[in-house]
Amino acid sequence: MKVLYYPGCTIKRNAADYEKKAVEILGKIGIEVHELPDWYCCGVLYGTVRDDVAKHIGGLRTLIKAQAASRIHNTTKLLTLCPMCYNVLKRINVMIKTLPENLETLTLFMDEEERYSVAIEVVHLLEILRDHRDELKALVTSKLEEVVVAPYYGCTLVRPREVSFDNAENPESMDIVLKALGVKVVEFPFKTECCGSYMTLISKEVASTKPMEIVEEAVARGANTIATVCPLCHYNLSRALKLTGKKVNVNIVYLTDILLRALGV
Amino acid sequence: MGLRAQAQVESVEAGAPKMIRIYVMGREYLVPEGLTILKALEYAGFRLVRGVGCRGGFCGACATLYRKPGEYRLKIALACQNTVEDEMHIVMLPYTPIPKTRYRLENLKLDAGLVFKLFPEIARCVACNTCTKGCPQGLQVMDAVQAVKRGDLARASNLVFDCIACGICATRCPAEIRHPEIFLLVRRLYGKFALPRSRRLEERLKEIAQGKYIVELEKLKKMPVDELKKLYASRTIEPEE
Repeated sequence: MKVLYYPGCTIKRNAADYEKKAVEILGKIGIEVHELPDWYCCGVLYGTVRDDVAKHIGGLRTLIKAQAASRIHNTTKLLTLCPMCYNVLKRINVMIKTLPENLETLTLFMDEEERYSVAIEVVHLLEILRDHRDELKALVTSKLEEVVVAPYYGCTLVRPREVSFDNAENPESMDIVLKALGVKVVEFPFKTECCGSYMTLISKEVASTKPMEIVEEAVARGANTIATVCPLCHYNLSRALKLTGKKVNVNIVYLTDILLRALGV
Repeated sequence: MGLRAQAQVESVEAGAPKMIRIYVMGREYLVPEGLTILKALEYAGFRLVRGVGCRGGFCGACATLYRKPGEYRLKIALACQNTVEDEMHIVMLPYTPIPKTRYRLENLKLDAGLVFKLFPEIARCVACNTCTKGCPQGLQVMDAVQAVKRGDLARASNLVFDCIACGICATRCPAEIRHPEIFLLVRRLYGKFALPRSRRLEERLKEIAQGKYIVELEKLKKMPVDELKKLYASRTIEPEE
């Protein structure tokens, strides 16, 4: 199976290892990953606005490039690793259906590009892993007895509902994948609490209190590991953990780190 | 008869080139077809002290904006390279205000984060491609800014190798990005910290300093012109790749 791949700026700048491991795991279950030859910044939180089409130019242009690449690789699936990129691109797909006049304006403006026919399917790594958990299960060599995981989804993966591939209040994709691999998973009601997101750049205090609440709840539930699929969540939780004076026995890792260990890599 | 018709008649009679009409900052001028915009301006009586430089498409001084009647497209040209077209409405843009950003190259390294710190407006790029459309060199300007955004200074550097720093991109950018300064920094960082050093260059400089070529140079300086010409004509030429 082939997928097109949209890294996004953060993966390339701050999470190259996450990308490497994700591609490796997908390779093991027979999924070929083809990075788009041309792609653009999704716009991050600015890409989530509804009233300013200019903020969707980057995302739409990326989808158009994906459309061109889809003809070369014969697949319309566009993989994302960063939940914010996933959110923005998927929202653009939704916007085009609910506000078609926006697509018209953008098409007129971007007249150097081909027209977007809304054929690209934006997917997140977690969806693919959940749908292929049986193939992953078949490759497990290590049970990871000592690992107890609180799966942390963050918010841009599951909100708003029209972009979420899982239940927005109680997503279980990560739980399902980890359990299929025999890893111990705890009940974690803070699994979709916001980590503080970009507030880390604006108000360091907010960005320290919220993630610490999440970390402490995970530990209170019996976890020694918090699994995430978002570089910003990873950064915010890790930073809060580092800055806290208290000694807390927990590791913040990417889901892919756990999976690769279970697969004996 | 009107100005234009008069000029046409006169030129046909004189066997001179056809006259066409251009508008410089809104004012009409009749100029001979086939001239570059620069030459046409000088024909019309403008004496240029800014907006003119190498006259060879290399220095970026003569950036010009123009439109044709009935079209909304804003086009760009280098006045020294593009020829005048009938009904062209032009203005020159010899300067974009970008005060020089101060830094010491030796204190930097190949790190996009440093570029961001000096030019934080890069984060505002919405990928609108206005800069790309404004580039007289046909470079992928927006792709270069996006490459810096994602930390790929090598890619950015290579995309803007042929930049002549005319500044049109920066003038038109809605995010107020200072492309010419940014690209200069990126190329400098790439050249200094990423590209391999020329080992042979350093050896050669040492040889020169030690006087290895003085005798040869003195011989050439004293050689009669005819002999020099013969020597030059029979020199070894590396085959082109």
